[in-house]
Amino acid sequence: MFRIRKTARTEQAIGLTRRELLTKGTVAGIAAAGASLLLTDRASAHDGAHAKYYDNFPRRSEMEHRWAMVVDLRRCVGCRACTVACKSENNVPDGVFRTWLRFEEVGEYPNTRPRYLPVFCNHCDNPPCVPVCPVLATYKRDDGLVLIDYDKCIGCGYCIQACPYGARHLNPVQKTADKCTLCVHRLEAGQKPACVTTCIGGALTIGDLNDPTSDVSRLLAKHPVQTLKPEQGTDPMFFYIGLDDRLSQEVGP
Amino acid sequence: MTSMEWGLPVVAKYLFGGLSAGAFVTYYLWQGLGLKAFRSLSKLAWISAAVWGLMIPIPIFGHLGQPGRFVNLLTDFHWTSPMSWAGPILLAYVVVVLINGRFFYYADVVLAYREARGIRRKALRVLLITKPPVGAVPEASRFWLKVTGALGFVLVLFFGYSGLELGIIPSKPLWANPINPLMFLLTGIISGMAFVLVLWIALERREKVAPAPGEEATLRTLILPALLALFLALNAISYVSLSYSPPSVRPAVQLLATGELAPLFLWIGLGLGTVVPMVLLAGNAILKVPRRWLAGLSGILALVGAFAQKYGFLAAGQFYDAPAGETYASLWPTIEEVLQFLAVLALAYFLFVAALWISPWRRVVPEPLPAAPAKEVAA
Repeated sequence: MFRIRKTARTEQAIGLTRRELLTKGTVAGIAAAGASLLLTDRASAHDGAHAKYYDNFPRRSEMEHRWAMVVDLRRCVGCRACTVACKSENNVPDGVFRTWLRFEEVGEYPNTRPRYLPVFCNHCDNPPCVPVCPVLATYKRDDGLVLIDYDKCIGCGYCIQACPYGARHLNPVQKTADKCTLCVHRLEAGQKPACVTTCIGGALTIGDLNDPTSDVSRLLAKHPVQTLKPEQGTDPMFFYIGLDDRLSQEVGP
Repeated sequence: MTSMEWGLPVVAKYLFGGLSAGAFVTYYLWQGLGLKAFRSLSKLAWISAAVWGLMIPIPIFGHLGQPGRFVNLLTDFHWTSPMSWAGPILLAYVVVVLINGRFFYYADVVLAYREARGIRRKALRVLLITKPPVGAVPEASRFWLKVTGALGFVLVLFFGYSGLELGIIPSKPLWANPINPLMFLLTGIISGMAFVLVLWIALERREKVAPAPGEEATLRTLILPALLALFLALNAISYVSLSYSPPSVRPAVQLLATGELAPLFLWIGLGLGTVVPMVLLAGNAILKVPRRWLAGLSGILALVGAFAQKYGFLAAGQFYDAPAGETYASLWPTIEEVLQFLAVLALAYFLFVAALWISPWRRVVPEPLPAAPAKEVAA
């Protein structure tokens, strides 16, 4: 016949009485409560005043467009007006960018020259960020725009890791993933994105690939173009004129 | 300098998942596969699997930008995102482990319930689920014990999804390796087994009990050193395969091999945390009297190693060769992340203390024989 050791013996066996449990539990509880406060702080930063920092857009486009952008690097002067316009138009918080400029010097001193590479979300035809999103918050519309449902996104950062261009970031205010929307609100109002409108060198051209007479279609027919990191198989909808292979690979998070 | 997108909280999630999975495998090696070397660990292993299983999502709440929306992980399940599998797999796993424990612990819980008082009695009543029997304790259903045990074991294998989370990202060449799910599963099993071993040794040491003959087999088992050897072999395969990867993987590999993360990943993770415990455990198995402290030390080193490997791998994968004028993210956790991690560990400690206090994890001891009547002393 078997029996279990008495309760008091069991407590003694693991060197723990109810009083000790309460003492240790209180210490651990205070630590855990501290952690939960930190977490609550992170959560409430979004769920309060900033809950509608950005609006969502319809998942299905009613327009029969296929948006694409041509970036003519021969015309880019590196003024960063696109970055500033994007920040201003989209109320992008401090410390993060939806559009930015990559700069490097090439050649050997004193014969050097600057090179600039404006980088955006490439609104890929085969976007790697979409399938990995665990909550289906990132989606691709019929018009080719890759957008984020800010009310669904849990801010896990998986899409940020998946993007080979480093085009996504975690919005520090609303605590969700964020990126260039190609100013979808302006496109739907018949206007061009803020970066395109602002570009002083005329390096940025947006248009409809479905329309053979659009500026984008004409440029693509006229010039050889490259895309960033073509080996990733993402089929970007941003085409660069004057992009060399090395610069194409150097775009990263 | 910014912090990494995926830092300490994600490492903690992988670590806790591995600890739970490994503890359940340790439990199943006795309960399901009948390996006697793991008999003495089985009850603590089940408790460890359950507690770490409950702990898995906790660090993620600190990582998510919107922790309040974690329910979306359950409602938007789809196959293309391994992270989407996490919700259903972890939920099913924890439920199956808890139900399995009900059958595994039934007789012990009934006996403990009869003797317990106060909160402990109430907690044991909840664990029993059904009405406590009166009189002789009936045997719990062996069929359901086997079914739930096997189901839990199968779900543990699905924990490889965590390696797949990283393995399917082509933009991160260090991570994008098909061997990753197996590596993550293996480090998980190693760390869980090491944790149970350390816990068992610590509790036995507290009582100052010499190992029973059956328990000696636990100290001599070669399964843990064999798993460590297998992990080293897979590491070698993984890094050979990286030589066929795109050149963009080189900065990350250099970072792990000779760079800022080399002391953590190479020396602590692979050297101190894998090679040394493998040798110590193998040596312990051939000693005339296996040493508890040797096994305990090996277990602690393996635990530290599992953490170091996971952290190094995750951090290096996010590294890129920053050109002049730009900075890359810091490879080390922020103060906030460290504090959160310590607080989560404190919560785990409390759950373990409570679980050990409530549960009858101790072996059931035979009823002492009635004392012989004292001989009358001749006057």
